[in-house]
Amino acid sequence: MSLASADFTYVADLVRRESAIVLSPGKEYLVEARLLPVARRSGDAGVAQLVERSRRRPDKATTQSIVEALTTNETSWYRDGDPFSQLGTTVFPQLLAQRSAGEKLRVWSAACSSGQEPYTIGMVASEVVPAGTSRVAITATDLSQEMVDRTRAGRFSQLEVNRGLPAPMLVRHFTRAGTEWEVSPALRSMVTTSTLNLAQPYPRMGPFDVVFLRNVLIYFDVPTKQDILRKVRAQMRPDGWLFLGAAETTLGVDPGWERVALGRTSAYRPIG
Amino acid sequence: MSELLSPEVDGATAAELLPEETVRAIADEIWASFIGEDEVLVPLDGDLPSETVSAWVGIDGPWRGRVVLTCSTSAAEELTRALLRGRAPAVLDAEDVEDGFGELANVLGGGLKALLPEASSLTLPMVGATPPSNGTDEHVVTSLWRGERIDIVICSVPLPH
Amino acid sequence: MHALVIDDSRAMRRIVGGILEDLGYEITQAGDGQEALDKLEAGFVPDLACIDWNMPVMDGLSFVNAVRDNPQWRDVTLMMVTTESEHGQIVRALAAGAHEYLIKPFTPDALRDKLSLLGLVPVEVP
Repeated sequence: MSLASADFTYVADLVRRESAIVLSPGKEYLVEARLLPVARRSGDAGVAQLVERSRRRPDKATTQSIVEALTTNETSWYRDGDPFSQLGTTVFPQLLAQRSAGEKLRVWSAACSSGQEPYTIGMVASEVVPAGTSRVAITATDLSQEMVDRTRAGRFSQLEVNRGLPAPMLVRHFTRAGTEWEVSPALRSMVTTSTLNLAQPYPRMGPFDVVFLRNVLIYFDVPTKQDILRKVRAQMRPDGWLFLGAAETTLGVDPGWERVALGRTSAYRPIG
Repeated sequence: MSELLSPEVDGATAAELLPEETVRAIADEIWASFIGEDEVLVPLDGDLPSETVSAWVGIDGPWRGRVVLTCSTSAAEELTRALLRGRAPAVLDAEDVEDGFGELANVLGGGLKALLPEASSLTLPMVGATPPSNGTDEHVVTSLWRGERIDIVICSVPLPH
Repeated sequence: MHALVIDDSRAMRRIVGGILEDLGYEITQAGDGQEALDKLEAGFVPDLACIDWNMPVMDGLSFVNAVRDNPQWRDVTLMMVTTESEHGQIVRALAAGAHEYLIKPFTPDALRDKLSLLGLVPVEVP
């Protein structure tokens, strides 16, 4: 039953080329199991037929679904902790003091992946902002249509809710739906989703009070980083807040930002 | 436990209450987290060897049933070794395997129990060469793990455990 | 940091205890709630208790209730580590006084995530 060695080599090469992720020999069963649903969805009789089709006539959609099936990465809730605690203790309270009563607060999760980040922002907002679920609007975008669909669905596996979601938040904001957990309608109503390629021109969104652009700049070269940071700034309120990943900074990339220490983390605010 | 019959489970078979795709979803999560990040159960058939071992837990509630995990004795040992990761002793004794393999059945039963329409409880896991034979409407979900056949059997049990 | 790992499965005690040991914890094990309670009554107060729910003699929920009834033990952080995964069960455990809840199966990363939520990941000594 196991995958032929030539088929495995083909898939491993493809995945390494497209994602730099290495599938070492011995992962044949993993490839077989992850690609079987892909094969069934695309009407191939089995994994061997899917590989054969891709090898004879490679097409972008098949390549992408093979790579996505083999490179799933788990995302945590409240990832890295500090940006979200600062959002609750500093950023939202300051915005509430500065904005007129009832004015919407807009937050952009610019690489939302499977949805943990925008829903974490929503949970923080519902804790600290009065009537937070209607006052705060979250825009969640991602390059991948599949990720956008997952975010919109708001359903998470048992393994996903085990990753850093505090138990009191789980019982407050989620209900069980079969083998999965589903976000509450109130939380989901805060989040609007769409696909967006950060390297391309942006439609008019915002203007945003807060932007989360975390662990995504690292994938781009310097000119593209500069372009992204400039375009993000144009979508923000002048007194807005930008959160980057722990290993990312605007310093030496784009002079249009002031770095502000917030507890053990930092945020960036537009200059001028 | 209530003696009242539940309209949702009354007359339902094991396969109706816990369909194959549900069983696979729960088992996949157990393998990916407890056996290893890249460990998978492939939904294909294979030969079950003559010498097998089973671990099972009972579910008590409006529906009474049993969840049984069966594989070769060598696969049960491999599963226990994988479960313990680097912490397995050089030589696993029978008690280690009984405990590790039994815990897999316990986690599987716990995951499935949570999907039943009404609150139920789990019995402590048992391990042996053959599970009790008093089950009805047996529902078998077969997979291959590292080429070895692993069976998960769900059945209804008419009498208290 | 000292953790008390309470589970009737020896394999599970090894898994949970092993992950915690890698994080610098000292581990004490107990096979059920009563055995764990006996250790507390003998004067052993851990920083963290990881508690299975279904165990013979005394189950995990009864153990949580017993710990919360005694103010001497209020600094012990209680985390359920169990296959019980119904919404209502998690609510019950939190209401009884458990601080966190980890559902089996879990990865080592998931356990670490929970500890950092609780502020219980020991800082590495350089």
